[in-house]
Amino acid sequence: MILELDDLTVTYGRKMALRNLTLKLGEGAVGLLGPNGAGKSTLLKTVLGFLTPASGRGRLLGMDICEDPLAVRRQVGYMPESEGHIPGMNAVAFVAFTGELSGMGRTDAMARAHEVLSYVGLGEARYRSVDTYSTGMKQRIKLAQALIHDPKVLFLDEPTNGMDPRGRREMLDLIRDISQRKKISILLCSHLLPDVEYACREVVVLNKGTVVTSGNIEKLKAQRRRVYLVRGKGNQAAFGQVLEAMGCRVQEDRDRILRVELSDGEDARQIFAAADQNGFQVRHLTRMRMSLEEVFLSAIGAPETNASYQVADAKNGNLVN
Amino acid sequence: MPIYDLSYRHWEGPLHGAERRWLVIAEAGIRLLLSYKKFVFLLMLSWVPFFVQAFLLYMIMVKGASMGFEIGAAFFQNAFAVQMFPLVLVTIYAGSGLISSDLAANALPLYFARPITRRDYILGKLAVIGFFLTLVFLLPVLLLFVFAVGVSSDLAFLKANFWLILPILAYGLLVVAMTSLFIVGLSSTSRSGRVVGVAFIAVTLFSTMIGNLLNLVLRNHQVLALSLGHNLVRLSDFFFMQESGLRIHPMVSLAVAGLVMTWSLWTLNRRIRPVEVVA
Repeated sequence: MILELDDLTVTYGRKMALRNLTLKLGEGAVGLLGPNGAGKSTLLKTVLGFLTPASGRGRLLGMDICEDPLAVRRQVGYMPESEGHIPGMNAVAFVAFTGELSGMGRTDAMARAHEVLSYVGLGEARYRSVDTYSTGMKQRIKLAQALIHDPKVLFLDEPTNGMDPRGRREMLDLIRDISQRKKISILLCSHLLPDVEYACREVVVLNKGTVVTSGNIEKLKAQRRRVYLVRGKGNQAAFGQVLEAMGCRVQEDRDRILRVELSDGEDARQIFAAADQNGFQVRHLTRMRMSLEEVFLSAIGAPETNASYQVADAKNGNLVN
Repeated sequence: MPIYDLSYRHWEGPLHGAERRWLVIAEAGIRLLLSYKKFVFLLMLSWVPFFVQAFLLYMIMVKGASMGFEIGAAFFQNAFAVQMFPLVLVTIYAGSGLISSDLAANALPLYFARPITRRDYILGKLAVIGFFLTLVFLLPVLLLFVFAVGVSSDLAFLKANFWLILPILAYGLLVVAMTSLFIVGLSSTSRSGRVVGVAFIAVTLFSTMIGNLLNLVLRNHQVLALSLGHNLVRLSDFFFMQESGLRIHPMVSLAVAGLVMTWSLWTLNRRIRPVEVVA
């Protein structure tokens, strides 16, 4: 187990940032998702010992995060969300310096700095002052400094912020390579769902300081109710009402395609049975794949999701909660 | 398998213990400042008074020239007074950006994501400025004393003045410690090194101006204890056992120095955090 948090509560004055958080994370890349203010960055900062929990316990690689924060930091590479560097240094001196701060000898740190800068794609720019770097380069150097001491766990806080599409893809490839081929566990904190879906296998969704859902991304997507897109010939409104009476959620879009979300335990045969009852001719039926975004929105109970259903249901003259 | 793998490689070398971490910060800070040509030039200029005074000392002690003063406590006390100007310049140049530039560049989370403590960080920063202030304030006077011992024809000078080594070290170290703590404390209060530099000058000058003004109005010498400069002069008189024109009790001056250092430590303790928490 990489990280275990037990009933952890962190407060900023009166505001509760993490609320009785209990969590267990295994090896590999785990995405930490959540809307702004959900407590993602607070979680990372608490594990690093930047913030002291009001109550609860936490262990990283078996080390207590409150009692031995220095030992924890020795095993963690942290890439903060905000821009940051040691002023006045060029890239290689900066990365080597962070290695020395981690306990590496000066010669070792310098040699290693050259290696990690090449790895993150800054080999050519390593003698340039960090002050002159573009946003994308600053993201890469933050990754380099997090890797310098070969950590067992990487905490990446919004690693693709401000990067162009190509740079973003390269950064995500690096993250994937680190977790899958170099066997360094990663906790990737992001609000960009495609990034998490691309780089991680597991996900933890936080909302208002608590875990609202967690698990393997594919399994989470599969667990959700199945959704079908249906188009046909006949009285579509009546057909939709029959489906609703059977416990399905039905929504009609502008192109008159019905989005049918089946109730638990049912399959596509339910749709054909309803069609048969109403003399509705099904001419097109496709199973819709649930995206991570839908899993995320459903987990945090986003009002947009409910609203869209409400509009559809109102159209059918049947407003539901 | 490639001869040299350019992709990520694991590293299994040794890591040194926590006791060296502050030294890493200090070394990096010193190296960085020494890479600025202007600063090196300032350091060299700071040593000009030393060579002038060493020449005078040589002329008096070896050539028997008469300059109207003798080589004794007052000479070394005056040597400190002369070095006070370079001390202020080096303090502003090297000290004002020590922490403020880290705050401006958002570097604190990068430091504290490593196995270092606040104590390591503050000690490292203090060591940087302490090193340079020792170099331009204490060392020249100490070397003058050694030079005087070296050029004296017999042991008479050493026998008469050996006690001076104590006030030289005590006063020199006190001023270096107080100035270092004060500028590092000030540096942690702003993201701008310029603001810190101006604040340092303002506090030093204004405290002297206010002390002088109140002294004029109230006709009471004790109010000069509000002035940092006057307190340092009083302490210098006290350490070198010279008659003082200032009627401030030396313990009051020591207490003022202590107060400055306590404020600096309190400020550092409050300001140096890996994250800014706004409740």
